[in-house]
Amino acid sequence: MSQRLRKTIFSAAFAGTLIALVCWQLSATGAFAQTASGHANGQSAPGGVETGVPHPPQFDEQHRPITAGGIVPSGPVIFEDVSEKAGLTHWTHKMGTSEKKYIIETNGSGVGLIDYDNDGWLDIYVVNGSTFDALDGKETPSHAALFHNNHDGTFTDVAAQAGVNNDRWGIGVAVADYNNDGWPDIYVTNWGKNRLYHNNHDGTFTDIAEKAGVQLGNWSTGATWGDYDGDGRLDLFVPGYVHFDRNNLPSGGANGVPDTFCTFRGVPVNCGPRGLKGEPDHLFHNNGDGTFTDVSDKAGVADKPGYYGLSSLFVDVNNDGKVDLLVGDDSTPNYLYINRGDGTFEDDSYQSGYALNESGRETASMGIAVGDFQNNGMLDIFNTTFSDDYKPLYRNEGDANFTDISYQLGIADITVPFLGWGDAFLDYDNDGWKDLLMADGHVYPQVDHEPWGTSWAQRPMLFHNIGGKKFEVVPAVAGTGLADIIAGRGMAVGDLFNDGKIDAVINVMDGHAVLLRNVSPDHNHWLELKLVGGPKSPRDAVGATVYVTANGMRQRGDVLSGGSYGSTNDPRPHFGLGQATKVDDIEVHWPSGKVEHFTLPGVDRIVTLTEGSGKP
Amino acid sequence: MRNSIVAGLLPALLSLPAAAQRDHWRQATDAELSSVLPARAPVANEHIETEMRTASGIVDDQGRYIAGVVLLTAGYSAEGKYSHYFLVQAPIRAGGVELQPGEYVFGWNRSQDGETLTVHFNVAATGALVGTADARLIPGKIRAESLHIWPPSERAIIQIGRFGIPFQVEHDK
Repeated sequence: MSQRLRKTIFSAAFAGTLIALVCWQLSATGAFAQTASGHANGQSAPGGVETGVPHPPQFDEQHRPITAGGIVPSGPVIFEDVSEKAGLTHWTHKMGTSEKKYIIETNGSGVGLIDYDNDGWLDIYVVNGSTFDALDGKETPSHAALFHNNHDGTFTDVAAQAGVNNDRWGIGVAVADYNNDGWPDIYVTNWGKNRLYHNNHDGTFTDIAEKAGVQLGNWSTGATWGDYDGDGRLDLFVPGYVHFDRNNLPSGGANGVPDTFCTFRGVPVNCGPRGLKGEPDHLFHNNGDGTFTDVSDKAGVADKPGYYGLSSLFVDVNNDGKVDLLVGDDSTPNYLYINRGDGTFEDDSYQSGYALNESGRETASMGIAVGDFQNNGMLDIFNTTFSDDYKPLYRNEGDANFTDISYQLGIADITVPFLGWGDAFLDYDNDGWKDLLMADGHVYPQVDHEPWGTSWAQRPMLFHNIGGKKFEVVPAVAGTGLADIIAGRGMAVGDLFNDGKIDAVINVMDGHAVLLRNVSPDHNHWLELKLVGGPKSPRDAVGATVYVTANGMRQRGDVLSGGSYGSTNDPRPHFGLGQATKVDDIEVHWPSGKVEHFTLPGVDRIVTLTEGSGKP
Repeated sequence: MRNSIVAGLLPALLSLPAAAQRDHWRQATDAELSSVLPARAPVANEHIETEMRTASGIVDDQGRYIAGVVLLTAGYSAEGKYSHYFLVQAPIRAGGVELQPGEYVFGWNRSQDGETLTVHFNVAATGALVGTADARLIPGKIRAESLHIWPPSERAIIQIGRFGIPFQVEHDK
């Protein structure tokens, strides 16, 4: 293309944009004559802002809040709750008291899926909370659980033997092989000092957080691992939420917390996060010798304003081969940092559209899910948020530009009464289109005493992807996992039974963990890939991107650690293949920058791909 | 040559919506906004905290402001009745709604298709409705903003998120 032609095209495009803007202004100006109304309408002002929420309460036919109702008697069964059968109900999560007097008692904890013993079967790490009495030595601390997969549908808690009880006020878990020894390690975030559990290769772990320099000390949340500087070693990002001071507990009208921040719809509730001091975020560079260096300031991701971070994810959102960084912030703008490739990041939060929802609202972001729901090779983002707010899905328009299209996709109004936490894109029916799952539960027990159409315990929501154009809610059939009314928090998804169907584990506030086994009646084919990085990539290939071509579609999968509220999903990219019985191509973009192609003899299998063994 | 034509057209295209503006308006600085916008806005019988980092506004050469800031309505980002405090020190017409100098609040409801916000302007002190106007998606790639009041010489838009309401400064009455 000649220079002149380029200039002509650019000029025409630029002029077109200007003309579009002017036309938009003129048309909007013309329209206002019809929409303007005057004093004559005489609407009265509300008595107080907390009552001015325009979303009417939603109840089902039995007058249950829709978040704890709306259950249908029959329909397709997608998830079976096998928690008891699997042996998960002997363990209970506990965080504070049932009154949830303080915000530290109500946010809950996450789940990590990890094959800690490298036997080819995913195990489950479930984080536990704690209580003030436990901190004071008046009761035994609650233990985390490490459920070993027995390969027969049951699990055994081996946390004590493995040395991963934590016994602190646990929040989140991020799983990755930080030292490239081929064995996954566990980073646990706490209110208090964090843990880095180094995998000893013998079924046990050793906490090396202090020596590694990644302990921190106040309220850390949903961490993420990623090799941001391309040195082949995984670095660690840890968001901070609230600086919570045990000796200065927040309460309404005292300790400098305005009453506004201690009420919800006019009812007194626990205070925050607004009105409380934010805890900064931290980026730790992996030095390769078992230690890390805090490079938050230098890298430009230190969260100087002190936003309330709850979740984070290293992921390449602009397809330049470098992992970028997403941070989901509660009641403050989200961050989207673009990796410049020189050890620093550019704050693209507002320009990208990710900081706010489409109408300019800061959201109470809880969990981050990424997935290519349109199969166009670009990752989209879905954030869970508070009740009285819809859950935004940001469509990737390319060049790190995102548009919140929840209303257009049909997932806005229906999600308003729910308070979402863990979330994930997953192809539950293996039709080749990524669906959406979110775990839900409120933070205020008081909502059960008010006619607001929401509830403390809520059912999970599953949305079926209709060809990348719409999402339809999958009915909550009585007796199935989607009809579980639970105080859901962290959630991780993965193939726990190696049957090609993606299951989900939900950490439940003050309850037992819930295992939703995928029993979708479809007969579609599938593929799962375990990636092993070469010497210039992280060994567990975190940060790799895979494109699978089959059934006339090209799908994208990524190896990630973190994202969903305080949780880490199955590291093996999963692909539903529909009726395809062969895969045309597998293209792996390794973190090292190398691109390789692989072929397979068949489908319906889990395949290990090692960097260096494919074709250019 | 073509570039020259486009460059020549640019001021004319941009000045179309600003043609009626008599006075010189520019973007107000953060310090200026902090000096004129309240940390706690008077709304009906209450004072509601504002989020000053979301403040935006314009000021003319007579020191008159058109400025606004997000109200912290419930501790979380629920779509409350009022989302923004809005200070008007020169008469304007925003999306067809005439606003005389005074203190206002506005809020909005979103259409089912997500393409439009119906914005209602109310008197801050009493809550009395002044009028409603549609905010529509602004074409092209644009930053999402909590609030951006653009100078008339640039866009003459009150931007909420990626939606906009055209406005013009009226002659004093």
